[in-house]
Amino acid sequence: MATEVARALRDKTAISGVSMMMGDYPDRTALSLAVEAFQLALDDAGMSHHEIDGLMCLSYGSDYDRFLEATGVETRYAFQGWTHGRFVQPTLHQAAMVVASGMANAVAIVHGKKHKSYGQPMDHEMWRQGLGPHGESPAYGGFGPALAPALAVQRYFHMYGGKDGDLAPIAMTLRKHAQLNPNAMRRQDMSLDDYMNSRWIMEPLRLFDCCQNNDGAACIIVTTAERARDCKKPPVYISGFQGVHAGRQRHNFTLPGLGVAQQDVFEFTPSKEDMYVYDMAGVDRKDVDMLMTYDAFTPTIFFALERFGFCKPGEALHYVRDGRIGLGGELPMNTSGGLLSEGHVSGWNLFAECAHQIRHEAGARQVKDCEIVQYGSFLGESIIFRR
Amino acid sequence: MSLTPRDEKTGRYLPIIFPEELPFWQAAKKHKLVLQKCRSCERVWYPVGPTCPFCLSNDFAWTEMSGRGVVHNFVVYHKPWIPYYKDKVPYVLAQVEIEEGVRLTTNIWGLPPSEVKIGLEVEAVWEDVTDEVSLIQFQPRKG
Repeated sequence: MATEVARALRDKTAISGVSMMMGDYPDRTALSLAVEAFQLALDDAGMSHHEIDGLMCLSYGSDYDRFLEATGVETRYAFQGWTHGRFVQPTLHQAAMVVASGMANAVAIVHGKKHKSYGQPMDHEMWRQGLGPHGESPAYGGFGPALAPALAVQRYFHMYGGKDGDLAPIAMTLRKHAQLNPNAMRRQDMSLDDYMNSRWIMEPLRLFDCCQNNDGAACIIVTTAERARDCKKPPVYISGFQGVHAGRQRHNFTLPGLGVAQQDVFEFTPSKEDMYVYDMAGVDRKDVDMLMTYDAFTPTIFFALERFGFCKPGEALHYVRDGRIGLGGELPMNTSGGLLSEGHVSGWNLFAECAHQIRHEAGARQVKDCEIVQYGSFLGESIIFRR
Repeated sequence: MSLTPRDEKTGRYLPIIFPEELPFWQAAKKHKLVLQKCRSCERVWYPVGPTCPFCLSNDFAWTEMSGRGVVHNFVVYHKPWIPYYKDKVPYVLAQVEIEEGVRLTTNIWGLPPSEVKIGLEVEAVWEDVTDEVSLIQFQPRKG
């Protein structure tokens, strides 16, 4: 259960400004993209850069010190985190805690990235002692982040009777969402035939089960709820959060119990302790209007649904069909098209979409009467936003 | 040793042999699979590491394993990530659970990828890659 202190932080901080850029920027650097994203987010919030006294940057984007030199911003709280998807939510909830504890009044999380540039983490992380973070083993031809979700969904299919084609509703639903999003990079129609004819990348994953990479940038400004109420747009209250659950039983891109790498094999059902985010936020799972999850690969949609108990073990396989996770469905998910179809800004674009939905500015893809949005992913990291 | 070792002749990636893992690789050269077994709780672990992840004891013995197991999980690579695999795809990357209970990341030899199934009984076979490196591989169990 959430502690008394945690409950006291409920709705005390808010997102006041967001920005997102994605595409091909051949003549721009990561720093230049980051600076523009910062300017766009300040404008979105109606804040001055002199108000920003906290900064978080991410490895393999622009470094925090260069960013600050370049923008002339002086801070009393600076931090540099890790780019990877599983550390996107922890960076945001850290910003909320920094603001809640008074270490800064307004934290800008800024990330600019080039798809192909010097020193990508992929270039070296598979060589670490043991196996890579996605189970990589270079000597055996085990490469790529897709390995972890491919291993996970193979076991998921084995345990619950899934087969080729069962991931198609996910890819197709998110593509439909992207078609309602003018900023999305992949908006062409995707039929079941298109999906089934897309080439195997790493069986059981096809091309359309994998996101593609691109240049991009994003900025999210977190400040006190009080300050946010005076900003240009409605505050996106940060109501509750919980962190990445990690360890031998919690392999990357995997649910507990699937038996990936050294995990035990069992049918995972989350306990209340596994979902204390709801208690901190003071909301019930059934109150969630939109669920956002890190969707670099289609299987993560299954795992988010089961990690937070929206579906019982093995049920997500069937739940994702018939429009249930689409706009107008029981539980719309990744309404922007997600990483799979909107594009990849290391997951930061997912939070920009959470803010757009809470502010009711998502246009054709707006979830009606959207009050509560949950970000929640396979490793249990979660944030609940409230209007 | 370069930071990311490759076989100069083929371009294939080789494993980095970390000092603590030397007994594993020396045994592999002799076509024996050895892993660390804890003298306190008697469990075996993988990947190779500095201490027992079950009881944090540093008292372990390098112990020969049976080399028999089952395919616990696998994927089929269709996209060659580096040029060496261009004429090798499709190939199987598997996690084989050996009788001692741990799962090794490996390839499956001796049958087409479409015939590899979870639960397939397999046994160790050795691939001599370079003068320093032999890799354990697995093939369907014979008899």
